Amino acid sequence: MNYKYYYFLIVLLCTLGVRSQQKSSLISLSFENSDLKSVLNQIESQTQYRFYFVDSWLEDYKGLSGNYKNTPVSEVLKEVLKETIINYYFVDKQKIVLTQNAIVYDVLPDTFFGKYGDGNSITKEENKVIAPIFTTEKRISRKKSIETIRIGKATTSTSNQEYRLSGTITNAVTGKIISGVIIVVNGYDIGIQSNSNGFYELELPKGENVIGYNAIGMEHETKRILLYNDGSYNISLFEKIEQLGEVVLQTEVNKNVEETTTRTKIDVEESKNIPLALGERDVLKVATTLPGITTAGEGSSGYNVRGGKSDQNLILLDDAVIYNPQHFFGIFSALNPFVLGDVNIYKNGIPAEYGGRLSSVFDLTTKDAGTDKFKGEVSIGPVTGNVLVEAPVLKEKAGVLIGGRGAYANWVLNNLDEESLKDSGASFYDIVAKYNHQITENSKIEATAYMSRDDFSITSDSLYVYKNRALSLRWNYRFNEKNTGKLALSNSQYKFNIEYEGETNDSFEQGYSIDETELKFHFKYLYNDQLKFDYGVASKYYVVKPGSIKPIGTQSIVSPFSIDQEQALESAAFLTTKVDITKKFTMEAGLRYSVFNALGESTQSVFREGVPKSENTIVNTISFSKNEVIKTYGGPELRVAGRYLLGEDFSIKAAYNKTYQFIHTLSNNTTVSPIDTWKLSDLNIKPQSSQQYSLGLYKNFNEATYEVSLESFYKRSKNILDFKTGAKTLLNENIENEVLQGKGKSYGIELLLKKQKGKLYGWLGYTYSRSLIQLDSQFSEERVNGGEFFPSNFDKPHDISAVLNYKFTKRFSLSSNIVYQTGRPVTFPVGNFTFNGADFTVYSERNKFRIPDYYRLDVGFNIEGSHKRKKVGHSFWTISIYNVLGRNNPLSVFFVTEDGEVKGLKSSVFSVPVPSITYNFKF
Amino acid sequence: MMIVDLNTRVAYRKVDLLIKVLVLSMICIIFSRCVEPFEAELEDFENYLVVNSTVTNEVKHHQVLLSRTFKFEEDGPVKEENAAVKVIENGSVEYLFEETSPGLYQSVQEFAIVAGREYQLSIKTANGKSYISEKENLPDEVPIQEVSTRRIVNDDNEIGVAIIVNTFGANGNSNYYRYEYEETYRYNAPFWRQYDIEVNGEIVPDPFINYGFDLVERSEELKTCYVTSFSNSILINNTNNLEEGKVVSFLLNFIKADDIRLEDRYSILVRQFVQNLETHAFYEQLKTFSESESLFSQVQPGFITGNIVSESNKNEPVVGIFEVSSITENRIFFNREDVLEEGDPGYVEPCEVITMKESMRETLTDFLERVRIVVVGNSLSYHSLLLDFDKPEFNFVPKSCGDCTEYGKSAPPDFWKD
Repeated sequence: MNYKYYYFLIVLLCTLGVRSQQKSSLISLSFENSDLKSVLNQIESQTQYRFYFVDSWLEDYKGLSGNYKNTPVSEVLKEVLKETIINYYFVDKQKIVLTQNAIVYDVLPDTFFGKYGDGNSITKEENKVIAPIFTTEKRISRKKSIETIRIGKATTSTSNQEYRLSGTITNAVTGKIISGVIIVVNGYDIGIQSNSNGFYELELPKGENVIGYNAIGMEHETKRILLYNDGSYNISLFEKIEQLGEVVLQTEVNKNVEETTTRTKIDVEESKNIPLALGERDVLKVATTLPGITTAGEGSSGYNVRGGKSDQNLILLDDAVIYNPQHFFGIFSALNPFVLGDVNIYKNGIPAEYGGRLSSVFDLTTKDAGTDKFKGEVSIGPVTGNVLVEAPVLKEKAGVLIGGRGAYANWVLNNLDEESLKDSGASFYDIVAKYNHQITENSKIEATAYMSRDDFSITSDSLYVYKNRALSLRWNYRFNEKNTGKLALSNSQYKFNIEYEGETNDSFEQGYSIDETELKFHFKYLYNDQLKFDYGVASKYYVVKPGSIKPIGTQSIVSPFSIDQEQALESAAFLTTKVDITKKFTMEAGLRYSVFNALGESTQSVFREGVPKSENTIVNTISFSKNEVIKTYGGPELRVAGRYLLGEDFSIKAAYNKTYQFIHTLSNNTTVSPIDTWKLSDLNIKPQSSQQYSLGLYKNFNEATYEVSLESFYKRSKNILDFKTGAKTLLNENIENEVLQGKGKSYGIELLLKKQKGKLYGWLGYTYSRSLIQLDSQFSEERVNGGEFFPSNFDKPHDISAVLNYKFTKRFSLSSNIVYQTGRPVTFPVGNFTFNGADFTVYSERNKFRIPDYYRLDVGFNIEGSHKRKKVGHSFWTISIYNVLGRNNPLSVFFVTEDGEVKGLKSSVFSVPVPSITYNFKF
Repeated sequence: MMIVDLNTRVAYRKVDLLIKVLVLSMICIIFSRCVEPFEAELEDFENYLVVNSTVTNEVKHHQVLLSRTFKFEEDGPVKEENAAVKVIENGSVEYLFEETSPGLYQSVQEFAIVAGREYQLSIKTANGKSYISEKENLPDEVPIQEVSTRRIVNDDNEIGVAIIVNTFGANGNSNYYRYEYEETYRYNAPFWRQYDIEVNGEIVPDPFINYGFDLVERSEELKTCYVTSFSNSILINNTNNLEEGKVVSFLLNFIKADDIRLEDRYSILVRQFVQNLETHAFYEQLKTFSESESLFSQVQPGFITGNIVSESNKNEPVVGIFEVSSITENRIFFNREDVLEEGDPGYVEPCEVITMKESMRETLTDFLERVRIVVVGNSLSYHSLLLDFDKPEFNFVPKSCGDCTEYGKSAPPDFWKD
């Protein structure tokens, strides 16, 4: 007797609303202290009726007694089952179906008939549906025990065809919520996942549904849900011990193809396998191996995304901005890889929720602290040591995480005998602390604090210090099944300080700082599966102290001087609609409206119109009082992205982005340097803006073993900041005199080929792109290269990078990293001239030449500790060689006049193979 | 709470050792940031006109230097000859210049720049192109308050004398200064001897008549000389960030204690130009471009625009500047002992005594012939003659050790005070 059959049937009957008329035959029977099953058997033996039920349903009912004479079967059943939760129902002429919990309706609302017409058609439907039952049978027979869960209380008063099933998914061992669990209904991925609170919600046809719960690293669970009404079902999943990697692949299959906005996700865990300089695991450096993201070279901070300047990237750590996430001239990133949970990079189709930068968003989130037990991770590399500790605060509710990293380079330098290094010093550290607290099922609080600091001195009389600070407090709240909200309060600060103590009386201390505080409300509204909304408001307040200088010691005659503080308010409201227009076509349309108010107290110069800005052309200076609006900029930013599925694993996506940026770095360097300062837009400095069009094709092969994507973009920017030759950007009161604002243009095509499965895995990226800038004016001093477009400092047409890993066994793997880039443009001296007895150089047009091409090969060998189950911790070794080929890649080429003679020099950071070894320990 | 088993502990220890070795090599690599010569391949060389001219409020024959830019492999610039050069005052008065030597143009009459008037430089080259400068004014004159000296130990732990300019800008404005200097030192040839030898007639192998050399009295003029040199680097400073427009302790020059210049007596003439902002910016750019870059900053190079444009072709670059500056001068003198201390390292002239001796294979006459060649050659300075078992030994020293005129002039300059 296969009960499966009847479940389907019942569902069918219920939903289709069959009304059966039954004539019961009469029977006589008596029984004493019998169990229910034998009573039914007696009936079966006397009649042609056959009962359909599950044995276990009847087990509980024993000790029945009765005596019936020529009683209709229905009457007998009614009596016998009176005290049970079993219902019965007649099907056809000789079948009696028993049901647990459920009522089989024999009276249905009239509307049902309106829908389905007469009874004949219903019979047809019924017949049709019988066929698939056998296939179901087969499937079920393979999987042995699927637990059946009954949800809700059936009532006759509702006419719903669909009910809502919701619940929370937790880890069976730790009790920690699990987000991102993919829920498969009746064998189909309907695209629902548990949210960050582990909560899921489905609309299901009433009756039986087979629900699968798939999560990365967890055992797959399948439940048969019998849905009688709205209800909730919480499930705990067990961790999967083996083949973690393959679960990932199966669950995320075709995600890249199906997403509307393409985000670049960096696998934090996998990043440890990629060999990098000095064995430091570095998530952001991994990003540069992907198409469209480059750096100017080793030892240069900042990223250039799709031909954008390095100040055009919004780098967020738990919603707080980090201005300079770099240590040691960019050789290390200042983000502890141990604490990072998710790293998403948006370079096209930037969601409307983000704003304020032109090129990209690096959205980094820390992972949640474990709430079950004390955990930790330690790594020791040649230059730094790194520790992560997680501890529960409130069992299964709250936890705290602290990650710290420090360099011991300074200690080493001090212990060296080498005279030339005695005066140099460098040290850095960064700390991340996070507290997460699941207050109720619907409410969660996260607090993050981040700090980084670098100290270095190149000569004995100077000391440079730069610091980042980011604080954020986030409250996630779920109002109901459809509405969730997030409130984020964040504060970020970047500052640097230079101390100089020289021989003469000009010792000074100079400082700079930028501070911003943001409040952001972000809501999500799920109207239905096809239509979702994302909306909110955000506002941030900037305070910039552009520079101050003060004397050190009584001898110093440097007068204390500071440039007036700058303030501004940057606010935005945003709304994104995600709509599935058809099954294949999905659109995400977003609008962000940004407003920037430059605020007093301030004094602003008004320049004579039609002449170059300079000290001599100031016609008036206006004083603004505290919080008075100096100037308002802003406008709508349209963010539209669309995806059309050309097949199950093939899609085409297009996006349009408009972005505004109201703050600018003042740097006349090619690369980011720690003493670059940020300037707010004001009366004379306009905000930058950019428009990007992109189009891409995404295709997976071989069940997503191979992922191929081809993306192209075209970007126009306005008011990109540049400077007159030799401009002084530090401590300049009238920086507007030195600024040039020009147009930018960049375009390119990016190819990415990824292999995810197998012993050999990795990716290969190729980018062809151009980045051009135009500085034109009617005045020659404000014109560069005759006012024509010329290559920007980071224009690198060809960029190839490949990351290839080979897994010998579970414990041993080899990884390699190959990079090739066209040399970046430089301005070369083209001749000499003699002036005041010395020889000097005449330079070519801006960026007319290029430095030699860049290429590098890194190799790493990774050894995982044994996979024994019962051991104290897990260890991991990385032995790597950076720049195996010993290629002397020039970082920069420059020319000096020495003894009246011009000499070309090139500097490089790692010009020899650099071996390193790093040890990681996890407990 | 971190539990580490024994194996791990051993591993830690091994790692520790390995790390120490690695860190040492790492840090060296990072900090040396290898800098190597770089050969740039250049194409399409074009030469541009280079103008170097400074006119001041000093009454004199002012000069304008004209040349062309040149390729790296060339030794020096080609002078721009046969140009018509003039300075125009207030758009009406013209001061004409004439070419006194190739590329050097000097005003026909003496003149001085006067405050409150506008000056313009006009050039017409032999190929018919004309160039004009912007109109410039004379900035306020700011006198040098003092040029002082101080014994210091510099960043490289070297002892020496700092020459410092103190200026007081009473006008209270931000001032832009450029400095030039002319330094003169007195030098005593350490191996000056009273007698020199001269070749006289035939070789006579007789010690009693000095082997045929004439012993002559050496001129006293070769003993003490005065050597003058000029600054050749860009020395600029501004009072933008300083109180009261004051320049205190601008380190003009540093001379190491063992430098020849500090051997005896030293004098320096400091010329201070007060420039306008544009001219200052031009020099500042020149200076930054000529200096080696610091570890993390790199000046965006580009064409340094001056205040001169081509009237014929607006896109033709012109290198250089027409500087109108006010000038003041100050001269100081000091002796070594005035500033430096007794134990400080002194100048050591590389005065090795070179001895000529008869060798086994030659006759005395052959040897004397050899000595004669040296004496006639005048590349060494005669020191002494010794007899060693009847064999003559002629001792010489490098020319400069016995003859100061090798470096400078024996007559003290007009300004010299003892």
